[in-house]
Amino acid sequence: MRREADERLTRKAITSKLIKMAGPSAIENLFDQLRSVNDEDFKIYLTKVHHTLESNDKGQGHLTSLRHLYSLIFCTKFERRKLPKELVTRLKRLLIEPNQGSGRIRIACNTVLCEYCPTESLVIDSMNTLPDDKQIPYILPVVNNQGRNIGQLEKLFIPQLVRWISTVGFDYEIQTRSLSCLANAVMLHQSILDKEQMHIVSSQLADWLRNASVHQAQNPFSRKVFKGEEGSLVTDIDGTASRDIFTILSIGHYYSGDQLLNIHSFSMLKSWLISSHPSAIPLDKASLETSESYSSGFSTRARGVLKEKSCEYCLRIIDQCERKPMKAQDGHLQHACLVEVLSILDILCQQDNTLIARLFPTIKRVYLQIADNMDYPRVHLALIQFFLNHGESLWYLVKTSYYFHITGDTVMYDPQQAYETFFTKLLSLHYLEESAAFDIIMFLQDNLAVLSLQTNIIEKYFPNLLRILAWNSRTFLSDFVDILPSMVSATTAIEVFHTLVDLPCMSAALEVMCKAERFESTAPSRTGGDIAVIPGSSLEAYLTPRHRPLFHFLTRMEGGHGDTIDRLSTLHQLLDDMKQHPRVTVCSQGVPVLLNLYFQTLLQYADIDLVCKLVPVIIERSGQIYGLPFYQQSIRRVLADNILAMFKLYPSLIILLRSDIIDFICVLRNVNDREDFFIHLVWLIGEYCSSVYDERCTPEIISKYYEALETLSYEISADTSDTVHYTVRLLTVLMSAMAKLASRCQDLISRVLLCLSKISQQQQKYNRSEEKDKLALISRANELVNLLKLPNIASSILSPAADIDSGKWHTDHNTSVPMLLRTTTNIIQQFNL
Amino acid sequence: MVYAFLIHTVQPGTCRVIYSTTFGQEAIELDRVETIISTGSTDTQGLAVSQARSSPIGHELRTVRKEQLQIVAKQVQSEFSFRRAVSGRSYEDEMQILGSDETALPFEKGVLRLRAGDPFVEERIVVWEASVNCAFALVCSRHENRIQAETVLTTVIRYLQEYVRVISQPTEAMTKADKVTTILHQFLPNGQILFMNHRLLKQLEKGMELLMSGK
Repeated sequence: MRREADERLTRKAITSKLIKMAGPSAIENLFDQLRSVNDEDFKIYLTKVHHTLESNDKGQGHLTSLRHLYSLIFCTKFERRKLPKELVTRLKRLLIEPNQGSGRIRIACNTVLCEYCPTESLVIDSMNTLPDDKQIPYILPVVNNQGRNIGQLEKLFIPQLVRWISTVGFDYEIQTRSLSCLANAVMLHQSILDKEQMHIVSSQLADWLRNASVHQAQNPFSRKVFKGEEGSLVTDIDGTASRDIFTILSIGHYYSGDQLLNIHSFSMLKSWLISSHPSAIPLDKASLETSESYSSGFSTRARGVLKEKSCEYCLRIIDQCERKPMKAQDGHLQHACLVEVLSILDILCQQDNTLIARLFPTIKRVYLQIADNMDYPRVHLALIQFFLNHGESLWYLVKTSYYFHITGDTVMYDPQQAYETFFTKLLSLHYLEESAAFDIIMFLQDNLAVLSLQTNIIEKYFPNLLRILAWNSRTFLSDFVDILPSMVSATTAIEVFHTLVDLPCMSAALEVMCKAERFESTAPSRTGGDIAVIPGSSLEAYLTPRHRPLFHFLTRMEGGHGDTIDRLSTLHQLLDDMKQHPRVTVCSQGVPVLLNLYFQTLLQYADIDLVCKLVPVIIERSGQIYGLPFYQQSIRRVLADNILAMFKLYPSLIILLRSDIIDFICVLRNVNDREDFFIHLVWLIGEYCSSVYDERCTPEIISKYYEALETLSYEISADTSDTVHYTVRLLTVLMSAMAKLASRCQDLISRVLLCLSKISQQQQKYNRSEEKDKLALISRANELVNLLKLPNIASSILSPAADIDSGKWHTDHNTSVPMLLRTTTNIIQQFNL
Repeated sequence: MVYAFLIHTVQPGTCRVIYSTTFGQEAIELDRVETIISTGSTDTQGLAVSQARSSPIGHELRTVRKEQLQIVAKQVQSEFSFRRAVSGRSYEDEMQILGSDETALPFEKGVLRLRAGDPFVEERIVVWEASVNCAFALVCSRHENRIQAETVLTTVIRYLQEYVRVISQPTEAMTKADKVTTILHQFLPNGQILFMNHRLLKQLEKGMELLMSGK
């Protein structure tokens, strides 16, 4: 017991010590300490550093000084601590000159200079006259960090790097470093190499890719001349003797310089191809004809050779990827390599589309091999990218029999199956992995136009795609802002709407399903179960066979249902315990943004028939929203705002959907929790139920609407219960709506006057609302009553012509609204007197 | 290619970059410099802009670089806080694991996309891993092989733990930055993601041991 207690205490002590060392306070203290050094002390310190660096001790003293110097210049952001030019020159000498200390000192010096760069006080003019080549790997990062503006990257160093690369038998360490340095420079500054330099490097890359030695190298760290494996052939990744060219998947005990150059060349190949080679023109008859003289058809032979060698290398890697690795960790490398070579082949085909026919059988073979393997989503993605990029060209090739001529194969592969497998099974298996999900989103972003215009992938599989968002809203919300419009079409609009409103539920359901999987209890354990009884927790609900289909519906892979389920409220209840989960909360914060975007898209493209179908759904869903209070509020606000926009676009909706609207406003209960939405509908009736907007708006329809509003206002003003409190706004909008209807159908005027005066009386009678609210209501009722007593004026004010916004009403002196308003005010004041 | 590597804190509060390096100087138009500085900073922005105007270009470019990397760090910190919240694991839980068995330390991993112009000129992808109070991030070009970038990052973190004990003593990344540079010098030469099989990894590891020992 005592021993256990001791152990516990020790563990606690260790943890608290770790918290001290690893926690934010340790870092803050260090920053405070370093930043508190004032200019004076810093200058004194720099003198000391200079002194130390000038001394003969090239060991620990140098290292400590350089480390401290680095910390002092690293810790500031805006107020850079300046180093005197003499010290910078000393640091440069330390980096460049021989006999200045070990590699560690040079790296420490390199760290300081890279942090201090770019700076005008450091001038490295040329590496031509370096006393010792061994320093070059430490100098290159500084040169790179000095950049194009300050350093002389373009004028001096690029030609130098190209020269080193093209010098046969030069130090391989410098060549590999130069390669990576060059690759970086080309990526950052696209036009930094001229054509000739491009071709020199391309041809060198082709040479290193093709001609690396297939013999194992000597142990570079041993002084013994002969030992063990050296001289023997490298093996393939599965341990068998290699019979082909050397690649990154060839295994040797040690690698020689040319083999390391081969590895470096492949590692930078893709970025080199992208940065240095233009894309091809679209495939046509002419390009097919010229492809017969493949190598001679290119502007330079170097480019052609690099393409040829790259193809050969990639095909060799594909072969090697089919072998089982001796070491498990190389399996991961195979995966990465396969994705890389598929991507390189894709780029090569984009740059020279005559390669498509030659390479396609291999691509098809790779796909057929992994088609049923669900472990490598990113390989599938690379294949799909290839199909998508070259599908059209392939179709052309088959049509012209060129494909058969090159491959002897008559069977084309239809990629539909690949798309389906990926966007259903694979996606639902891998959406949890951040990197796979990220790649899928990148794929969608990169191909958004093609996917939307040439395929139905985004529309068809939108529920599965939204699963990624539901799981990781924080990361992918901005991407879905780009993708969402492609999901909305006439057939999917309503289903997408439901799915978006229920997105936090999807998030909750996914979390529950994951939890169930963690507890290894995915199989429904409860048999039967009463449907009316809500289980104690969402996890329990998921394990209940009766409720599980609801979860499956939420997390379905394909769209096409067109609608949602009947038991939505049950589902919301089942997931009630998940509403505080951070994943669900974050997801629910993103939905209003997406929903607004959804409506924007819809209003841009939808016709009246679609909107007509959607409005009843919106009305229904305004009352069925997952039980997060802030979520319900924000969604209802979005719905209310957008329903206004829809009616503004298509005012005829008020006629077409009259029964739905009347049914809704007749039920007083609907006001509860969604008064704002309710008020908007009432306002819409008053605003758009007019023959000005639709000739089909007869007095009968206006009367029907009026009757519904009248009943509602009597109910509200007579409601004396304390449980529900209706706002003044609701009653005011109601009164205005009724007055507007009466101004268009004069038979109603007497009823409205009666109704308004009754409301006024009721307000005076009951003591429910605040005094100022009561006064506002009574005053509004009086205004409307007075206005309706002059029907012609009332109709001008309450039902102005639809073109009121056109400006005519403001410019025409005799009919302008200000004039009417002035007249009305005078009349009302007179009546009041 | 990798444009930058950084180590920074992830605990709630000020996000501190404790090590950063870039493998080149972005081609940046100088009129964008002030925009990046002024949008990225908070209380010191007035000072920064006025200083930047009167300073040489090198000074301005360095400030921009620092600010860009700070923006990356903040985004990773925000992602990490979300991950930790949904995983239900706390800082203290991770500390306990760190105290008992360092190798079992759980890492949150992720990938982020930085759109062109925000904060870098070109679009970039950030591959990151984080645990306890330390995040490690590679800022890659958009075409980089992300599977291999993840592997390289994990390898670098493994050596950082071995040589700098960066997670339990993050301040070491600042006070012994040359060790971090040595690891990157070997496994991320000039920002190149290398395809390394197990034998090449061993060979590079031996080279690094030699450098670390000062031979």
